[in-house]
Amino acid sequence: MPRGARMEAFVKTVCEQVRFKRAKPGIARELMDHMCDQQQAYLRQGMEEDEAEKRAVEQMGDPVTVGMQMDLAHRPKPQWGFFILTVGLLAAGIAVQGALFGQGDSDRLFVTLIAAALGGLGMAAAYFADYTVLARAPMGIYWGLLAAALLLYVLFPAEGGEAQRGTLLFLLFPTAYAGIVFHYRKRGYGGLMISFGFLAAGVLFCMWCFRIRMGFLCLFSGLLLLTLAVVKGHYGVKKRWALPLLYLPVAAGCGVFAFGYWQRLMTAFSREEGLGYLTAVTRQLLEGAALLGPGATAGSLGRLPELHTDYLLTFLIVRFGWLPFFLVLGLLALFFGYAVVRCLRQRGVLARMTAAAVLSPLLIETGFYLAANLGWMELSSLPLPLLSYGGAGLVLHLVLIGFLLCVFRCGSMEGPPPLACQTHAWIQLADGVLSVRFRKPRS
Amino acid sequence: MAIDKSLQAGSTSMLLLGLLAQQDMYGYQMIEELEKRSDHTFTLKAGTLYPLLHQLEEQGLLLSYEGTAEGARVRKYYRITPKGTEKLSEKKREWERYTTAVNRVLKGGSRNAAWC
Repeated sequence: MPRGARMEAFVKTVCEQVRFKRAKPGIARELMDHMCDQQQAYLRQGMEEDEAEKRAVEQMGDPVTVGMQMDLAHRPKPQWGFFILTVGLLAAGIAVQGALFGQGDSDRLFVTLIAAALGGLGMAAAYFADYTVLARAPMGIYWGLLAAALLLYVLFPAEGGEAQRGTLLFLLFPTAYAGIVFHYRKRGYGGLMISFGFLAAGVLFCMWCFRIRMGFLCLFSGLLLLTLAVVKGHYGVKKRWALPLLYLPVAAGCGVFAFGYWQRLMTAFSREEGLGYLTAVTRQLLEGAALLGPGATAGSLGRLPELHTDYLLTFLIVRFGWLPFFLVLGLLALFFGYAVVRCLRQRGVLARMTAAAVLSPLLIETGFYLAANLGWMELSSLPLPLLSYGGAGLVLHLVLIGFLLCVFRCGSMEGPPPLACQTHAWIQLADGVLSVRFRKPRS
Repeated sequence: MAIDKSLQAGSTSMLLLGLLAQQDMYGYQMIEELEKRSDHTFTLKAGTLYPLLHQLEEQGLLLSYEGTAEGARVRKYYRITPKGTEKLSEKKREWERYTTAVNRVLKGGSRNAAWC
């Protein structure tokens, strides 16, 4: 029998009993390593190689029984709680939009329902996807996303004040960037700087061709990923040098940016009404809101433009009262709070990074939207995930949430790629046996 | 003397947690160490060990990581978590209660036999 054939046959039978595909490489590798160790022990006792392999495999027990036991230990975890929260938020968004549009604008509600249905399919597809593709094809995903955005920019240039098509694609940028960070981890300061370069390229492209605020969203999300990677030691660099290396250029860039807007900001702050007209109107409307039911200023909601996209929460507060708003806020807090906790608990490096990459733009969007709708800042120009009106935006948000749940479902099974029985060292001494490898193993 | 497997079955996870409480180990090392420390009383098959290790890891009692064994060979090591340490303490207390109760019953039985 060819060398190692019995071991491979054993491992193959074990893995056939394991239903969850992603767990198989890790299981195969661990069992193979064990049999190699056992075989080595028998060889040291003077056994022949073939006999040693045969005994090593027999020692493992019945492969079908072992495989069934492994199957019990490796079941993906359905994320029913998150599904319910997602559906709850989606339903809340549809309900508020329904109240806003009324019977006179059923087309828009229809668009939301279609987008919700398509998004649901996208979410399901993402939920059953393999998030480790980010590690296997990081360059393809990163450049593919930027190429798609560039294509939309060239084919559908924005006219007048309309938003450039493809802007929302950058919601996927942090997730694509997570693959880059994962790819360059363990490469020291060089890897960190290259990763930063990829971030800068994507952010500047977004700011130049699409929307500055979306660029900042990508920047903050990317910096969060890099910071997480540095703090957790994935780059193998010292935090006290690496973090300033990251943040000083960003601070300098933001300073240059802020300098250009300094005069506008000073003028805005010096006005009695604060940051701007829309912020002032929002505050005036909120002052008239009731605890429950329409507020005194409900008739003046028309002063705010694009209620369905940009000021849905202000509409909710002024039209229905603070209590329904706090209910929605509670749902959002529960969703994000639980998601953040689950993200931090992920044991796998890629799982944690991917979860953080998906969550951060959702959190930033929500934060900006809340701030704008409560009169704390100017127009957000970013959507509120699952709640505000949007066709493509809603679909993308649901896909992102599906991907997040995919990580939560399978992240605990993340393991290193399978290795052969030998390591990548070309010369090694193990158990008194010196071996030299002349050919690089296939990965 | 071989020990009845039904006696071993309930205590295997406690033995593994006990081993890992002292140091991180990989699977093969655990089998060898268990056999050595128990003077060949406990001979655990790999086919029993690995599913159990994976279940304990799923329960959060252990965590695994890649480490380098002798000869630069990469291995999957296991480490006990704080939750695992708590579970071990609980199992030890259970075991002590159990063995104390069994010993009391057996001692009581031998005393009666002596009277007969």
